[in-house]
Amino acid sequence: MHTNHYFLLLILLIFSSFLTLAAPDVKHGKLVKASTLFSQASKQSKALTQLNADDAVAIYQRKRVWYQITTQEKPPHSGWVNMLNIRFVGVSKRQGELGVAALLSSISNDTRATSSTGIRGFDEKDLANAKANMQQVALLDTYVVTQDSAIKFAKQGGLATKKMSNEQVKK
Amino acid sequence: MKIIIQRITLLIIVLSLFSCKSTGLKIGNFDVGKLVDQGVKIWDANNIDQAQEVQFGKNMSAVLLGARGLYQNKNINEYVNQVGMWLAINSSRPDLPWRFGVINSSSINAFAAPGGYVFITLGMLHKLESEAQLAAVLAHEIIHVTQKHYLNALKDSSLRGAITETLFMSAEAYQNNTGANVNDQQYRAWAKKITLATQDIYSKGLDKTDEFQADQQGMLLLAKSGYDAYALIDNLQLLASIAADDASLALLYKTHPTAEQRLIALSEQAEKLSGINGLSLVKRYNKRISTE
Repeated sequence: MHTNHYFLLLILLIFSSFLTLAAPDVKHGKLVKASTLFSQASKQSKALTQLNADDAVAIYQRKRVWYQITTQEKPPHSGWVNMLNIRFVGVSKRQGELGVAALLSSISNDTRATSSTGIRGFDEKDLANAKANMQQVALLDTYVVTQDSAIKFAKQGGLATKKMSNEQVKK
Repeated sequence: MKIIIQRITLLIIVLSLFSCKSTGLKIGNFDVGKLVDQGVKIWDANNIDQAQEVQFGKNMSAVLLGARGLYQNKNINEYVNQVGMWLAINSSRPDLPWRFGVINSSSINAFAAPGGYVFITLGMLHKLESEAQLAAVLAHEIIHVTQKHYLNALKDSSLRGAITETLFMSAEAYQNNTGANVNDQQYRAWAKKITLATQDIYSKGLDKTDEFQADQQGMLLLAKSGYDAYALIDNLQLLASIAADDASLALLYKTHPTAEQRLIALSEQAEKLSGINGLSLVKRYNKRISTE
């Protein structure tokens, strides 16, 4: 290969890795029903267009009940759609994984897990074979935190109790 | 002679009382055996006091953890307890002895047991991306506890066979009340009864109405606690994106409505809470979960 080709390849590699690093966490989905595309994350904002059921969209972020999306059509439309009108297509996967089954069966190899080797699923057969284990309940007791500790923990995270309106708590 | 006849008559009356269907097993002054035997036709969860409810939950938890034990990482379990306890403080029953645990299973699921016991599987924990999503899972389960869904489920005819006074008794109380020596045989009898009942209850699952209520009230609890209430919808979106026949979801889908049904049912609640902002706490979640 000519030296210029190597140089070009190197530039391409650097550029593509930059793109990978800079790419936002985009999820892909499709509309499950016809929906209005709004200019902002609010029903009071301008209605930009009407989208159809089964339209494919890229999802960039969520603000309350709204997803910021771009449609796949040309030219694409961008705006905000009620999240309940969209379903994800496929599953977000970690690098090198084939799907959810692979994701879960590979937990023991995950960098976030160091001591979960050998874990299995949990199904009816497990329940049918279960025997009461009071030692495990005693172990559970050792993890309990006090209410004071939880309040301190909440404050550290910026959490505070909110007063809900009658309309909001109405069942 | 007359006295002897009177005593024999009295003895016959006493014996006949004990030979009726009630086992006479009591916790404190409460005749659980009588309630259970009279039964099931008049079952009312409100007749069970908090101590009995907690014991019921403890027994069910023992069976659940007998099927699959806890993920033995103190940091992770304490983190889940801190999130759960903060939600519980904001719930309608803050004074229950709340306990939260991570079950060492790759399945995607969460469980509650009466009296304040809540569990999430490690598989579910790994699917989540924020503290608000963790709180959403716990909030749903907390509502099952505060609304006494499992106690009320015992009204269901298919669970009548599961109702036994043993559910509400510790192994020690069972041994004491049956007048037996504290020995392995008695423990096994107790364990067998609670195991069979718990298997019935968890395998059948709750009524769909209870599941929808847990979602709706769970969103409200999230909002009240300062979390992003829509994290619960995030979780359902994630579940909906996983193939329904994925083995990791088998038990969840056997005992719950599908994620799609739950999403549809949440539209009204989502609208009600539309003006409320809450926190997601993604960084804290990643930091605490990475301490594994």
